[in-house]
Amino acid sequence: MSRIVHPPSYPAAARPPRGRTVRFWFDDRAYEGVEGEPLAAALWAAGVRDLGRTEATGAPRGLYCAIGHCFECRVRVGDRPDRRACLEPVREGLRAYRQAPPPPLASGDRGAPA
Amino acid sequence: MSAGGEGVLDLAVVGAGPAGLAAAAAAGERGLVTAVFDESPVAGGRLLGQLHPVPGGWWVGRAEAARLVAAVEDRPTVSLRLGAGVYAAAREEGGFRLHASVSPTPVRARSLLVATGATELPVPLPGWNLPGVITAGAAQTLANVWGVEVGRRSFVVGLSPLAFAVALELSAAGVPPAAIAPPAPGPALAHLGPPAAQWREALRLARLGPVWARPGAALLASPALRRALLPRLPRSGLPLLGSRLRLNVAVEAVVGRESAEGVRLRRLDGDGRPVGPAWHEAADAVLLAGGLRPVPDLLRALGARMATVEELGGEVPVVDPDGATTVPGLYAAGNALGVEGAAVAMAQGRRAALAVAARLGRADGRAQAEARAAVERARADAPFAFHAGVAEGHRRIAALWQEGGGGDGRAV
Amino acid sequence: MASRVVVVGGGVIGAACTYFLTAAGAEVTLVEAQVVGGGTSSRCDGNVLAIDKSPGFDSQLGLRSQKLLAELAHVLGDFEYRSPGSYLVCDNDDEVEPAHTWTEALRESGLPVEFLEREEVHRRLPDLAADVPAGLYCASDATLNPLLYVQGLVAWARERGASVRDRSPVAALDASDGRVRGVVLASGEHLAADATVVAAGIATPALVAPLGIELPIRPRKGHLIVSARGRRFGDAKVMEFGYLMSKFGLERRVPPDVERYGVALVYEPTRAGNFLLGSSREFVGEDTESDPEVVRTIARRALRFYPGMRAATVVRTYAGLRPWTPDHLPVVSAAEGVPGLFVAAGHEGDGISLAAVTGEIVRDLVLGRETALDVAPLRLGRFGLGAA
Repeated sequence: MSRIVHPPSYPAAARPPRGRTVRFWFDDRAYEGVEGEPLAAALWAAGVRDLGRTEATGAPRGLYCAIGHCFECRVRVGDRPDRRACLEPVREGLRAYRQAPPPPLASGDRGAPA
Repeated sequence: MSAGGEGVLDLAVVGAGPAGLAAAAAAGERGLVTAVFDESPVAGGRLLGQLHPVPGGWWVGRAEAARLVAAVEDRPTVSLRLGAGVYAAAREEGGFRLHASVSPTPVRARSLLVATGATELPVPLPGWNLPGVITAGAAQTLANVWGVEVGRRSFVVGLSPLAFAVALELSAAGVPPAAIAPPAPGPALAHLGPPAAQWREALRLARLGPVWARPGAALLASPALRRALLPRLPRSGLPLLGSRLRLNVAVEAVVGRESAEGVRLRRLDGDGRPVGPAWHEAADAVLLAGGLRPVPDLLRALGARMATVEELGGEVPVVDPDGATTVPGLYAAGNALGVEGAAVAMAQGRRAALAVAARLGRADGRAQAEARAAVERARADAPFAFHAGVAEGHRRIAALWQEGGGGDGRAV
Repeated sequence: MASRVVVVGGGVIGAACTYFLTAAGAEVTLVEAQVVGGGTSSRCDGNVLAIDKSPGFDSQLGLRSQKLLAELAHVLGDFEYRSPGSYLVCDNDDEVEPAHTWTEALRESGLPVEFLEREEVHRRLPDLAADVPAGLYCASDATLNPLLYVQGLVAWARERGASVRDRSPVAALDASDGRVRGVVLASGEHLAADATVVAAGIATPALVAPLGIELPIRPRKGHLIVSARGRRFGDAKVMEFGYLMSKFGLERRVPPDVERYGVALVYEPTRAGNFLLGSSREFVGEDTESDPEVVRTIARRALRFYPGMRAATVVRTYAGLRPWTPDHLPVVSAAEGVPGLFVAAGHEGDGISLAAVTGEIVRDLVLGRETALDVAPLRLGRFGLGAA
């Protein structure tokens, strides 16, 4: 994926404002984004679409609604879990991580762990 | 004087989209102490990603949003609280108590305007939860708001107006989707209606489309003609908005291991039934365009009387001519009242703010009447209606208001 | 000859009564106003505890119920039953001596309870705040999924001939000549029965009042927080010792809002991988809206014991109405003076725990058998407000 290069016919007022390029980290890899854009957008532009694993089955998940309704894009930002990458603005030095399913319950329970 | 966290607001607005911002600007004009809350760090709501051609140029949502934000910031009694999601609200003596994610203490307000907009209907195809599958609205946001290319070969699934709006916008940006096609019928997709119903929906937009669209629409409208001619159309579809409109195929599933790699398709016969063997086509992004429905949650939680009106997109509050709900002091505006467009939303926002101002003696009957008329004008001037029969839907709500003894709507 | 029985109330108590009566050969019709398991039973955590029961009768009741439940776990489909034990932890030094006393009393009742000194409690619960001075552990305590439990009980009974009438509110008990002969539904339909068991939780008093029975059951609201799946803070259930003080109206040394809302830490990890946090106690009528102030107090109390929980995410909250009685024991009894009527209600926060033994007692009372325990403490008549 990449950034759109608008044709000359595209109205100037509709072009996204050119912001400052900043560096951020996702799962300890460095990326660049435009300051203030959502983390999910910066990652999509960098070709990263899987943002974590679902807790129920471990299957990969990514951006879906991009408006903050669905929580599919939840990632850990710093030490705060479950931040919506579609709302989290990118800033210099931001460190975000994919979330992994929690470990199964310790023994002592009768049923198989979820 | 700024709207601090300590005192009681005259008006709290939930949602900084066109309705909420227009309401705040109007409230600010009349000196009402107002705060607007939105969980997004950016103001403008869906306006930011919208654009469409108008005679002589373009209507650009981003510019409208900037204009509204400037109008709001110009008003000393209005504050904009971004990154603040309202997660709970309750009625209390004299008004409302809101809990917002950035306030350690609840916010209190005499009046509350809910302008929370709409949300997209799901299109639960097998494979729909793979990374790379997003909603049409999400594509609009990625591409138009943030300038990110959605995919090299993106596939729009669904024939709702949003599908065509997004195709038009992506096309203008030089990155049209590869195709637009309906989803195949399935148990989880009953709410979308069968392909034949979806074709009829798409037809409503035909008069805005290219030259072949109107006769094409007539063709689809006749079952006999449809059965005879639809299967003869090329499987690769007809050119539309830089993309290809493929009415005689349906998307059965999204395929891919770790992310979307393609779609599985089947032919549709003239009655909209899948026939023949399935095949795969490559797609690196799949855009689901199931349609929109209003978001009723906060209104329902506060006890407003609600009604399900198909023409308005789903569950909406029963309101009076100003958008006042059955809960005294609680108003609604924008897509939460019924899915229409930004112009109607802005007019509804102003109308609600004027009603609040009138309650406080800061607006007269003439201003209110003008605001109500402006909503009607915005509706009449809209290039097309998101749902057919919107005016009928609002008439139904007005009738429910009367029946419920809402009367003049101002009784407490 | 099978007894025809109508059980009013499709929550955990009614479901257990239905199960035990059906298993004994009675012909049971379960009548539920809305959805089976959808009332107070849908707002519970899954606690099945002995650690919080007063030694003596309370404890005996709890233990018998735990034993029956362990058997049910083999009979019914999976309801996420597990028994990792439970902990009580002390907030401050004032609670240490009472905790010792409590431990001794429970051990004398035969429970596998250990007192834990400071070092041991932190070894077992490493996420706990460093200043917690002591605790206790009961190895036999268990937990389950309330919804699956209720559904399992009812499904088992249905498969063996019990009939279930949901979305069927009862308008009145069908009484004449001083006996109860069944119920009249809001629709007007009469359901005849040789025995009618009212297990309707907070709705019970209104149903029996027309017969002159004043049942002192009052709704006591409690809140729960549901976390997202993510980091957990131990896999066993943990409550604060103060929970017991609150339950029995004893003094605690706590902040004013904790006192006001009757908040006491309850941490319950679920098999789904998340955890529930409670708890609160208020008499505020029948309002089940979540109160953000109470929720925040519960969250702050949890942070006092688990400072690392600060980053955990709340997915949602809910509140339910416990059927409280003045002596904190349920009413499981024939209605003295009203043949044909039985009451099984008033379990406050112990409905899930005590449903099994309640069902067994109701079966024995209805079928005229000797009960496994002396049930005098559960008599309706003990309040002195029985039928005229």
